[in-house]
Amino acid sequence: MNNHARCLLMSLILPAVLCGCSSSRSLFVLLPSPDGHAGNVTVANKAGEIHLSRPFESIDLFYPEDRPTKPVIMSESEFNTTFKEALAAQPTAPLTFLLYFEQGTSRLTPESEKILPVIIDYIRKVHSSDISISGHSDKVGSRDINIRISRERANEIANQLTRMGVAPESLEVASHGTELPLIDTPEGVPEPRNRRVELVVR
Amino acid sequence: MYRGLLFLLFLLTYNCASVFGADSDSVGRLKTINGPVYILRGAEQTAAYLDMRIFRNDTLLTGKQGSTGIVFNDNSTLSLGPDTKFQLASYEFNALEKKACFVGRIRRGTMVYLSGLIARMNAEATRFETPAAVAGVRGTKLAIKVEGGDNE
Repeated sequence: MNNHARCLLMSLILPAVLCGCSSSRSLFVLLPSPDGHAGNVTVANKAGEIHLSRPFESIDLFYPEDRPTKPVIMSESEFNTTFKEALAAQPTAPLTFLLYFEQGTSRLTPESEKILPVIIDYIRKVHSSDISISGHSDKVGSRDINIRISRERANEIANQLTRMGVAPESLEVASHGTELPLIDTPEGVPEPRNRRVELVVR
Repeated sequence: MYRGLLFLLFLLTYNCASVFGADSDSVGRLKTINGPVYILRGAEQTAAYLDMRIFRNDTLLTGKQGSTGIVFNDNSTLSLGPDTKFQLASYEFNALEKKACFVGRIRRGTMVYLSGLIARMNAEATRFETPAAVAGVRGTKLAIKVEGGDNE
């Protein structure tokens, strides 16, 4: 069966699963993002849909035929009580370091070279064994070249970390090419801030 | 009414090929564990440990005094409170193949989710299903509580 047929099949099966029809209560609460970025949530079921867009806006639903109507603002203290344990179990946000490269190469800029020892110190301090290294490029050159350069950049950082004593099995290396730019540019435009490795210590 | 139906259909048919994708790559790791926490993988239930790798289709279970927190490959984070049953129905994060999707099913308990790079790639790609509704999350932080749900 090809993927498309499978997807169609799933779209027929899933509603039956969703309509498990046991009586329960589902509470959805939109929270302020830590970065202040305004996101939103759409809550939908068979009976309708509703948008949550303000901090602590919430909606309570009891079954799939229960129409989502007017959201209410939940008090922060009630929220903190209801979700106390889940809030306490939140992992520390991963820390991201940005390392920049000379155009078309996997050679670090002199400024970024100085950051490497800082990163090593941090990895040792938090005893991290879960480090993601992803290479990125700007939009100068072909897709294939940019995928290759991104991979070389990521590998270069992985090699340097390994030489400085970080266990290779702690590293996950990926190449993202031009797909996740920090700064949006048209094709063919050099952008130093996109020629980078994002190193995430988790 | 019709808008709701259309939205639901859209959510259900959204192309998240990972439901059938390779299950060999881990998609995240457990970063906090308090009290009893288990991973149900296929028919096998294992006690969770710190830095344990999570795979798509895993179901996470917490006991009455349990809670846990996960960091996913796209840097999104999820934490679960006590007496929670959460299934990672689908997860895909591959920028080069332009694949991004996150589908979670919470059957009972509490969860807090903070979105990451998947939301940056595709604002429509993240959703959480409860017995009563589906929440589509566009780049933000969301909490869900399901009471009196699945007790198996």
